[in-house]
Amino acid sequence: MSEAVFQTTGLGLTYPDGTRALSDVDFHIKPGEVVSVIGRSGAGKSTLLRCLNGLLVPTDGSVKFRGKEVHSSPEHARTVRRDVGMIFQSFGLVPRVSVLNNVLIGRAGQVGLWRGLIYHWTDAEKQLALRCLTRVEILDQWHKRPRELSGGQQQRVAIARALCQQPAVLLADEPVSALDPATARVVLDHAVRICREDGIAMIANLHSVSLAKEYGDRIVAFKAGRVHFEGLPAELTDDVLREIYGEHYADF
Amino acid sequence: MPTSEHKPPQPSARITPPQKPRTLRDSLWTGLKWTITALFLVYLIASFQRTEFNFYTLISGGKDIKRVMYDLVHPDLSWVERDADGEVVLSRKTGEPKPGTVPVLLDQMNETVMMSLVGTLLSVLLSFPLSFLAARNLTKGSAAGQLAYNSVRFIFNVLRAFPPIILAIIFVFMVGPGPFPGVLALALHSIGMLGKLFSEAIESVDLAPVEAVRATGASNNLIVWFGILPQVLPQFVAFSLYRWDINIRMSIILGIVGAGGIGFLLDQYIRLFQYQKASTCFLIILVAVTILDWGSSWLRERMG
Repeated sequence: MSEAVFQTTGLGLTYPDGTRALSDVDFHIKPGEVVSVIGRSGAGKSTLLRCLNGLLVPTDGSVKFRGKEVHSSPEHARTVRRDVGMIFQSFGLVPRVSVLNNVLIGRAGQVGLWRGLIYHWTDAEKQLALRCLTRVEILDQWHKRPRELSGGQQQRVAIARALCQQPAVLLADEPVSALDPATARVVLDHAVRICREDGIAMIANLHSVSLAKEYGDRIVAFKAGRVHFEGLPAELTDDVLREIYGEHYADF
Repeated sequence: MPTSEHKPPQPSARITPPQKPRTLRDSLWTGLKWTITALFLVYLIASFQRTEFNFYTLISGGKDIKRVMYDLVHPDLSWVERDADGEVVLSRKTGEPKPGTVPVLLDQMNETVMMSLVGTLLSVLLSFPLSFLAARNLTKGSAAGQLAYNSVRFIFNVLRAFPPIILAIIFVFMVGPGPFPGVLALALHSIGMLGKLFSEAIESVDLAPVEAVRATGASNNLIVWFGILPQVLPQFVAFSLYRWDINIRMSIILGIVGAGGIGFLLDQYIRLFQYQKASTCFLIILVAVTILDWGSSWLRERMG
């Protein structure tokens, strides 16, 4: 068994207002693996992703990235983030900045301050960004502003931005919750296909159980901040789903 | 048959609400309110007396209203200076004709506009970096950030509290009369105003792109540069243009306390009862402000 990309032990997080978001989470993901994370809103899925790449600092336990503690210092967490791409429910594209520059902002962790301030990108970086746009099939939109694109197109640009980091892991925080079912498939197809091609591990928080089963090699289900189920998609039975989502869970 | 409990409400029936409880405090409060109202009315009447408000004076003229009105509608539109006999006055140094009221005032109006331009530019350059320190969403979380936030906010508040004219009087004493103290006064006051507006724009940005840029591993400086600046830049430009617009009018006033520009001559003409020349001042100010006002709103529409 190869070394885990991310490995958490006893991970817990209590927000300053006293909300307990995560408790005693042992989670891991191997290189190239696609893991679907499901659970009700507020179950701790988003908090988990933000603890992994250091956007949130856990209050208990540890997060290791390639065997090294992420939260040893804020500077180290920042270097970890360079190798971890992330996409969001609301896309997070920078308004009024062209699609190409949005993708190049994926390099923001690698460029120095002065080069960043004047938006000076090397030819290699530009080629990389254009290749990322090609892979999500949106190259022809490179000069447009985000608001001129549809939701699905915007999320593809966000995927290209994450790829431009040349990451080891892609974290997807409800990437298709704002999209219609057909567009959701197009977006997930792109993300999962590229991750498989490049051997990028992917953790996707999903609200749709069917998408989670379809795309994930493995499923992790959260309930009230704890891992309630972990296993293959086939092992996720209706009984388990009823435990996770409550009695009113109907097959959706 | 519906039972008596389910009778629909009668639309015509009068509703008498239950009596509102009335305490001693309520009575005292009512008395206080009436006392304050009465005192305010007395003060208002005294204000009219103190300010010598009188319609009759306005219509009949305090001293010499007919001559003033005549002069004001007959502005001095001379391009060269003439003496009492109508002869062109020549400069003793160059032998050229001395410029008349219009070219002199146009030159001074130009100085006024230049003052407002320099003052506004200085304030934009200084308030731009400071405003990031005065934005709550960027400074919360660390003690150093809190300190920066509170101190920069305090500086902005103090600068805003001083009207530019007061600042101009102080600077005229410090550096002598001329446009320079005017520029300093405009710049300082505008830093307070723009700093507040800029930092409030920063506080209202969409945080989703900011988090996305943070997730790439960018440093804090680049997070602000890539995630926040593109969101606030159009507002920054619009606020700066609007401030320039205000500063043009403000710098006219500043001349009256000796801080350069057309206001200085306007004050002189009025003191020397040269109302025809004062009228030229008004005319030039009116035309210049109208043109610049139109230009700046045209620009701002295109920036938004």
